[in-house]
This record gives sequence, structure tokens and C-alpha cells, in this order.
Amino acid sequence: MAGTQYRGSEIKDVDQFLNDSDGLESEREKEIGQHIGYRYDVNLVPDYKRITPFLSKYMEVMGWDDLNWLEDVHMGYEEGAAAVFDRNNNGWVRVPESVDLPDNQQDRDMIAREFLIKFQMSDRHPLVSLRKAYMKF
Amino acid sequence: MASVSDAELKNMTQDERARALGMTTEQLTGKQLYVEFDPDAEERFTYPWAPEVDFNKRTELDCDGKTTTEVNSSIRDLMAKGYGTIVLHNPRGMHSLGVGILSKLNLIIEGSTGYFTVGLLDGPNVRITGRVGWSCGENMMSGTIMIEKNAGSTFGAAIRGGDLVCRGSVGSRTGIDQKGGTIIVGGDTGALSGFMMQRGRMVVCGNAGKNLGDSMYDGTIFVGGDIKSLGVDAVEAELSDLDKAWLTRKLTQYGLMPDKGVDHFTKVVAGKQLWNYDNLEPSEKKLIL
Amino acid sequence: MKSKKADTEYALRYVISHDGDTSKMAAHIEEGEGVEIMSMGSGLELIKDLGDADDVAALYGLNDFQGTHGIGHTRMATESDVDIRSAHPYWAFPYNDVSVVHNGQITNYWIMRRTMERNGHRFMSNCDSELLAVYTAHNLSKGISLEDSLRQSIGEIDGVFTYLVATKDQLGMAKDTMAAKPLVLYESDDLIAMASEEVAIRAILPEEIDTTDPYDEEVRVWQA
Repeated sequence: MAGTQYRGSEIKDVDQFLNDSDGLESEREKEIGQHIGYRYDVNLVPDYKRITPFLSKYMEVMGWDDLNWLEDVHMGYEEGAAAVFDRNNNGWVRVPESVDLPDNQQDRDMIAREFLIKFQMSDRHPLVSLRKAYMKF
Repeated sequence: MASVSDAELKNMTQDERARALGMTTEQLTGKQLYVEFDPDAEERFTYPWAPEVDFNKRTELDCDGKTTTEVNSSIRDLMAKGYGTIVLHNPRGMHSLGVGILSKLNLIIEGSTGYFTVGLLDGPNVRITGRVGWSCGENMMSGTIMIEKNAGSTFGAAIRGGDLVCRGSVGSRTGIDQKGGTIIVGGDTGALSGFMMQRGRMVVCGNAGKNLGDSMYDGTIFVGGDIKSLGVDAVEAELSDLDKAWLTRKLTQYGLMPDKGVDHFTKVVAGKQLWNYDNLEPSEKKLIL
Repeated sequence: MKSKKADTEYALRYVISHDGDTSKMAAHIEEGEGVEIMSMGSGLELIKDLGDADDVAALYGLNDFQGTHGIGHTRMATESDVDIRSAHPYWAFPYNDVSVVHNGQITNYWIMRRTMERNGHRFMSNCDSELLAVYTAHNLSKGISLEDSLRQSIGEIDGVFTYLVATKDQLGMAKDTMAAKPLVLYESDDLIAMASEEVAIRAILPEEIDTTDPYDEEVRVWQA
């Protein structure tokens, strides 16, 4: 479907970026030694049948009827490891190897969302220190 | 990182605080930051510093005679006291109302507001009974914003997440630089909507002006009415069953489901013929994500 | 000729009765040393000064003005001087009853100015907004309707602009092709209100009203 794939790096397999950490496919990618685009389908909308109890509770606490901003959060892959991109510190957060990855992207996305919320709301998140250092009021 | 007490931090300049907490450029340069964290340590759904608010605890605030700063400070004070539902009266076109709220809250604005209304939002549910000026919800991270009447231009500029909904019509350049989230317009949108859109979804139930989706990198735009013209590198795509299900769910959720359903919507995506990502350095690419 | 009460030592307002060529009369008035006509009209009066809008309004007694329509402007100078000459509304010497307020930047100002100057028009300032007044007055003097002039300007004037024109019996607006400059419009059976910001309209209409943003290339003209 147009708009869901990436020029030069089509996502054909759920484990594509686990099996090939470079993810270099096209001639252009090989030439520059760099993967072009995201390591997940940014336009994939969530399948609400696969929502986890934690995420349902999050929606309830926030007063939302759906996953809201988490609709844009997906399980991605960095250097062959499952990771979720954290916009609050502009970097990937690796999912521990001890976590079993389901065999489909939708279930993986739910894990990524849950994991990201837990990290962002933790007092170990770098934003806590950033806030202390730079908050003006 | 040296241990520094809050009292010591309070007496420091911003620069000293940053250094004391180990935030120098040199220390942040490393590719990886190792943070020990236990996902099951504590169940939290809001940021650690966020005030505990109760949606059932409601209060009213009259904006008449107050400056924007006074109103916005009052909102923070009320949240610190646990109020989870705050109703603002008599905004009368004030600019920058309710900006930078980073936690859960029900904010109801009775009336119309000016520029940059509820920008930089991260969490709240906002309902505005009137109209909003330019750049409503700009840089929104999460939450919901519902505007009952019309909105000005650059509606939802650079939003990264959450749902921004206008029941009426909006101005030009809607969702310019949109990086995520959902923008829904019940009526029409002006020229250059979705300009340089990077991801997320935009739904326009009415008509769209010229150059829709010009130079969009990614994301999806759905239009129920006529499109005056598509912008450079914006192309029509097939509406999938998943798209229809998503549209039906979202539009029903906000009471904007057209009587004739969603089959007539046109889907617009990036043609990706203008992509220049491959010219970027890896670090720059990360910033775009 | 009789003088109305002078509000300041430097700005004088006169009511003049005359027959014949207005431009010749205007040129004759300016023959006096240090005399410059800031505006002239049989239906419109232009007030310009420096300072806070409230202060200027009070100084010239604007609240006592009676009429069908008015336009106003507070200027944040970006590309020309802060002086009375560069303040809006603009008019075009010696055409009476044309006034313009503008928000934007005109990028073909010098080309258009030279074109207008070759047609014999005079510019009083170096502010690009003045071009719109001269351009409009030029078109009106050629028998082009205000609405057509506004439409024509969208194709002929380059840059970003939203501008309003008031004539003796009409009020018009035009927005450029990029719709880059704001305008909020309130329209009811007995009142039209337009402003760059909602807050200006709400200052005079505090009750809940419906307002809209005109789109790109939109032109509207209302009859007084």
C-alpha cells in the first residue's frame, strides 16, 4: 500500500531488522552505509483488539477513548535489537533481551507502548534531571 | 554524577545547575546513555513531577481583567491543589491560553481564544466552546483538543501526538510540519494544508484548498470533500479497510461521522520522489524521527 | 476655508469648499512653507500620529467620530522609519477618500513604485504599504471598481499581504495567494468587524460570536 513502505527499504518481514542489523537494501543505502528511513511502518494504525491491560488503564487514567499519542509509537529496531524511540530524550530505548518478542508487529507495538510509558514516567528518565537543571518556572 | 540536594540546586544559576547534574555537552556526546530502570518498580501514568489531580474536583476561573501569564499561572496553582477540571470563562480572544500543561487535566474554555491556544500540551483534554486563532495546539505532544467552532491558520502546527479536533472550518497551512498525532477538521481547510508533513494523520471532512500535502515526507491525509489541488509530491492512494476502520472509529469518537460513511474519503500520501533523507548524517536523521 | 479645532501644534484639520481640480488645489496648499497634506477627503478623514493607540485616539477625539465605517492600524515598524509619514492608514496624493491599512511585505515594491511614479503618482514615504494605497487610487481613477482592483492586486503585487481599503462608501479586503497574513472576520446583518487578531474584535464584541478566517486570494467588498 502506498505510503506505508519506505523507498529503498521495504519492510517485508517482522524480523527484518533483527536479522539484518544494518538493514541496508538499496544501492543508495549500501553506497552511503546508512539505512534510509524509519525501522518500522510509521503509518501502521493500532489493532485495538491487541491492547494490553496496562494500556487500557493508562487510557482510563488520562481520560482518553483511545491510545492517543501512542498510536504513533511502534516497536523499532536499533543495531539488531528491539527498541522504541523515545521522543522525550530523542533516542532509542532498547527493550531488554529477556522480553519475548511476539511474532507480529501489532503485538510488538503494544509492548513498545507499554515499555515507553513505564520509562517516561519513571524517575530514572533523563527528563527528570533535565527538568531540574533547565526548568525556568 | 555528584549528588546534589534540591536546596543546593535552588541557590545555583541555571548553568551551575546543569553542570552539577552532569549536563555538559561533553558528557552528553556519547552515543549511548545507560540508565538502570525497572519497568515494574512503580505503576505511574503521569510524569514523576506531575501534580495528582482528580477529574471530579472542578473549579472555575474568570479570565476577565487578567493577563495570560496570570491565567496560566492560576491553572498551575489549581492543578497543584488537585483540581482536575478547570473551566475558564471570558477568554475574549486572549493569546497563549493554557500553554505548556504537561499532565492530565480537563480544561474547558467557555468562549473564543486567540493565537497559540493550548500549545505545547502533553496530556490534557481540552474543550473550547468558541473559536481559536492561529496555531492552536502547536507542538502538542499528547492529549485531546476539541474546538466547537472555527480555527485560524496553522492549526496544529508541528504537532507530535494527540488528537486535535475542530468541528468547524480552519484556516491555511493546517498541520504544517505535522510530526505525529491526529488532526480532524469537521469543515474545510485552506491552502497548503499538510505542508511538509512528516507523519501522523489529518482528516478533513469538508474541502481542502490548493497545494494539499505539499512536500510531505510521510503521514496520511484523508479528505471527504473536494481537493482544489495537490501539492508537490503529494499523491492519491487507495483507501484500505484498515483506513476505513480507523476513520470510522475516530470520527465516531468525536461525533463527526458523516451520514454517508467514510468510503468517499480521498487518501493522500507522500509520493516520496523528493526524499532527501539519504543526504543527511545519521545524527540529523535521528532528530527527524 | 475654516479650521476645525487643532488637537496638536503640528497637525491641523481644515474643512475646505472648492470647485474645480482637486489636485491643483492640493498642490497649491503645499506651496506654503513646511506644509504637507497628510490626507484629504470629502468622506474620509485620516488621523495619524505616534504613540499608544489609546493616547492617539484620545488626542484626536476618535470616540466622537460619527460614520459608517473606519479602519485603524498600530504599526510595528520593520522596514521603514517610525514617523507619522510611515504610519497607516495610507492615502494617495491627491486622490481623496482612499485609505489603506496593510499587514505584510511587498516584494516587488520598487518595480511597482517606479511604474506608479511613471504614471505621475507621488510617494510620501518609503513604506511598502503606501504602494497599495497609490495602486488602489490609480485603479479607481481609471474607473476600475474596488473589487476588481483588489482582485487584480493579488496577481500584480508580489509578497505576503492582507490589506483593507476604505473609500467614501465602500470597505474592502484582499488576501494574498499564500494567505500568509492573518485576518479574522465577523459578519452580521448590521456589522462587519475585521482584525488581525480575535482579541481586537472581542474588545468591542465581548459576547459570543462566530468569526472566520478568510482564505487565500479572498476578496470581499462591503457597501457602506
